[in-house]
Amino acid sequence: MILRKIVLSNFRQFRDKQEIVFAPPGEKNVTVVHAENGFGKTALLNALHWGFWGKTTIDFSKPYSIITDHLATECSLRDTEASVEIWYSHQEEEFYLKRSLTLAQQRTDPKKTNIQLHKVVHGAVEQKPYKSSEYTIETHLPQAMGDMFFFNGENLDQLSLDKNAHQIKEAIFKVLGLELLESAELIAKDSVSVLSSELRKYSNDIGQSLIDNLVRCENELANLNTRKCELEKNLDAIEKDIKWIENELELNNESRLAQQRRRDIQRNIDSLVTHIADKEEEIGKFISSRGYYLFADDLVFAGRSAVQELERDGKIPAKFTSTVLQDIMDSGRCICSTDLNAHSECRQSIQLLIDAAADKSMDEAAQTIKSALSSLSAIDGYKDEFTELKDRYDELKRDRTQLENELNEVSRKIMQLDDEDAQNLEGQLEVKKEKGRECDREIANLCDPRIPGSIPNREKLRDSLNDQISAAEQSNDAAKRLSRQREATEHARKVMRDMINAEKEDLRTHLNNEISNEYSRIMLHDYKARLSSGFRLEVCKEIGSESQTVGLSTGQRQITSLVFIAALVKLARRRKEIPTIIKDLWGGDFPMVMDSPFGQLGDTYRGRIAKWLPTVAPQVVIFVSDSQWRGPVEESVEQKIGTEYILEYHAKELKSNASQKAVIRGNVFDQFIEDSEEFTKIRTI
Amino acid sequence: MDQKPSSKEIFISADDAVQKIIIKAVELERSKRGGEGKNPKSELLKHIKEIVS
Repeated sequence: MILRKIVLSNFRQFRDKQEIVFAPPGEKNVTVVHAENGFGKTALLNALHWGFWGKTTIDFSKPYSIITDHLATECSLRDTEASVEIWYSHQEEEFYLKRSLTLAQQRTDPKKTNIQLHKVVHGAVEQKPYKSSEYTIETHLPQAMGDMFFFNGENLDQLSLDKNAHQIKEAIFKVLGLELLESAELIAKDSVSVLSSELRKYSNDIGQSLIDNLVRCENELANLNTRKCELEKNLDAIEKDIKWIENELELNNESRLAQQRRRDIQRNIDSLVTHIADKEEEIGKFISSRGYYLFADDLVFAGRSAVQELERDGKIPAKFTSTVLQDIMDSGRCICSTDLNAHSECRQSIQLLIDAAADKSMDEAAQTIKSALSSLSAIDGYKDEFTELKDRYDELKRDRTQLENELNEVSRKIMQLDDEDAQNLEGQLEVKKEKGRECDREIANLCDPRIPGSIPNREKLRDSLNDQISAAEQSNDAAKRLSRQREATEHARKVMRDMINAEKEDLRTHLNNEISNEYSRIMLHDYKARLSSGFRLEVCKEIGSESQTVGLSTGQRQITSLVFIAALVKLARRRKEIPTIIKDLWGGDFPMVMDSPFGQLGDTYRGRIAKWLPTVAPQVVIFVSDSQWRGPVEESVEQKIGTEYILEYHAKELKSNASQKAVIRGNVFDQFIEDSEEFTKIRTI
Repeated sequence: MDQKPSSKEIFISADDAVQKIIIKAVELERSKRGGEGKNPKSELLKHIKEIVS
């Protein structure tokens, strides 16, 4: 999917029709839009989100005022319309979409927008739109991918936090086409239901009861999965509300400092959560590999005493073993050449020795125990190691509790402020956080196999019922045929699920290679980034032969997230080369569109990232302020610029901290024009 | 440690009829995405009845 052009009409401060033509893939694949903060960068990013999916990003204020209040009062209700038109290509075909909203719609239900998607053939837009434009757009560029590829750099560090592992997983699923298999499995599931109800007509009471139980179980499972999806969506919505409330608290003069303090504490807690999870994993590994040592004290002591006693009694090592003496006896001749006749005295003496001698296997066993016990001498070391791990874990948990107490203190301070708005916001925040915790708990219960009625528990029951139905005797040929059809389809579902898991794991390995390669190109530290089996984005440092997770600064987290997105874009491009049993799974080219991607970075990394980005994505779009652009970014990216624009802001007065003029490669541009009305114009450079 | 089977190995080890159902289900889903009007559920059922006798 490659962006060709976007045209905005009355979308927020972009009045009339204004357009941006995107630089195509190739040598000069970068589109740069220069703008001061507050001039329209975030609105442009949101025009893309709104155009494709009818939604805006969390940091976009007044999301339901696409047509500005000013324009709304100026125009008549009937005529005013805002729209975003996007031209793009996908898998060698060209498309055109237009999303629009009238002022009347905005006033009644701003979520209801009009969308039409058309094919473009030989440069002309086909008259007939797609029947289901939303669905087709979602198959070209799912929203989960859009959130990943069209992003605000200032919030990017959030992606590398543990709690966003599901977002990473979903993006991988959608970008790399596994969703196709998942949807195909659902079609097979419907066929199983139809075949089951047909089979029921031929079945005896037991068979009917099994099928009824299966239908009930499938319905329960569907309800549980729907509930889980709802909870995950609720959780996302709650997270967004929390971010919005926190933004508002930061904008409020009275609560600003306390909110900033809370943000810092929260970042520290997020970092601690990662460390705690790592320690838990480390302790888990220790217990599964060496844990039994910790409980073996008494046994080791008893074993050592037993072996020492045998040694003291001269039983081990054995001077003679019964096997050696028996061999002598069997040969009929002693080692001193005496003939061992049946009733000879010598024979009787050897027989006595055999009865008294140690058994060979017992001797070997005693020696083995002795050597095993000597290897257990390291037990004290293991105990120390475990105690150290546990102490560190407890310490991290104590630190987290302390930070959580500090968070409560911040909350209490805000509630005591002499500001009603701040108090209300804080009250809402507490309610949202509690709701979030409730969602978390319910999701955990739904996924816990120990809980009767949980998803894994029902899945087990479903598989067992399916086996019983397949094994049941059928009365006639028609029933036998139906049973075979049902069994084959159910088996196909299971195979598809196994294939999805195998593909996912395979792609994680490929993605890890990309992440590792790209990370080493960017990072100056000797750190390695990887995606864990739980889809956590981790950064490690090699210490000897051990690999230890490291805590990152906000800037480093931003780089890590950026590398992950770039690796995903690269892997999507390589998707066709990766062997897969399902032909033509998705993948292909995707752009990276970034609002302020250099904000949290120092000069060194700004230059490195700017140089690196055009090499990883086929198409790069950057919205950047003058202060982020000047210096290393400009030097690194200027040879790659295909198209370049500046946002010219018209208003009564200039915003604080904004410059009236921008200097781009030595040329001076007006970026603020004093005007009685507020709007933004897109100017080509 | 045993290496887990790849999706290809999982697919190949399935019965012929199972393989055919999977291929058809994927093909139907892909057609749906391409805007073709066929109903994937009834089409797959028809296909299953043809191949598993």
